[in-house]
Amino acid sequence: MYFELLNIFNMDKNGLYIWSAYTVVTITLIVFYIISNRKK
Amino acid sequence: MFILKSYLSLAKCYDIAHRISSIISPAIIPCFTLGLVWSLFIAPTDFQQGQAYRIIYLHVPSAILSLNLYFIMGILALGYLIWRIKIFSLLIQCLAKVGIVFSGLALVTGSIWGKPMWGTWWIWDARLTSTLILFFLYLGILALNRSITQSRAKDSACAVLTLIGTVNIPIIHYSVVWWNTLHQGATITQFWAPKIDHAMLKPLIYMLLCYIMYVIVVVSNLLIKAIAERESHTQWLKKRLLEDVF
Repeated sequence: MYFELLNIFNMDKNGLYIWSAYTVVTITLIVFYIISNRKK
Repeated sequence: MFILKSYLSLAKCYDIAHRISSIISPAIIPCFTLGLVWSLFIAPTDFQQGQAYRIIYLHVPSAILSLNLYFIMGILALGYLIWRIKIFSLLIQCLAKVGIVFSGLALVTGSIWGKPMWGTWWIWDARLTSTLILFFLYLGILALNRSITQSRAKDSACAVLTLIGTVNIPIIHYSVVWWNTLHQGATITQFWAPKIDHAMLKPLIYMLLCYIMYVIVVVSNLLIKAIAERESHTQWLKKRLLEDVF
């Protein structure tokens, strides 16, 4: 397992790219799901 | 044809969408959590790209879905123009919304991946440019849908625009073959000989399945809303809404 990705305080530039991509996607999917599920 | 039309009635589709959404929705969060752990911590590191390759688990499913959703929309548009089945036009409208999200995500995650690998966020490469056109096509369909008030004219116009836009699908798919692009060629679409190791391919396929599950739920939710909006004056819907309350 590759736990160095969890060490956000000692992360190289690639780690930042990975986490920013995962954050963007997760937030977008959650927000879109909430919007799609919202009752009018 | 009459049997098909009665089976695809808005009332029946409303019930089916409700059922699908309620069955699959609870599974989304656990499935995605497993996928994220697998892709971030269990999948091995790439010897060339290092950890940055892990963006593949977000980028590839988004890109595959953005392309295939449009392909489905093209078939639905053709079906609508031939048989005038209302549910097809509503599905086009719902899929366009999902398509915007996934093509947008494919562009953003691709850009984030491109920076460490290519040294640039964006390049006017054939694959990237054709995907950007796809994103604008989705936006255009939705804008057209919002700009016309008369429902029959709206459905026909969106179906025609969708059908015209399908020209872009083979261009996106074969852009890496027809032109010399910075974007890599097909990696996993060659099912019999994938150019990716199985330890990396399995979480990728799993993430793709999670994304498909998510799309099914979101499209069902959007379809429920679209049908409710279109059929708000009908008796059957008022009856269903009352049933939902009690």
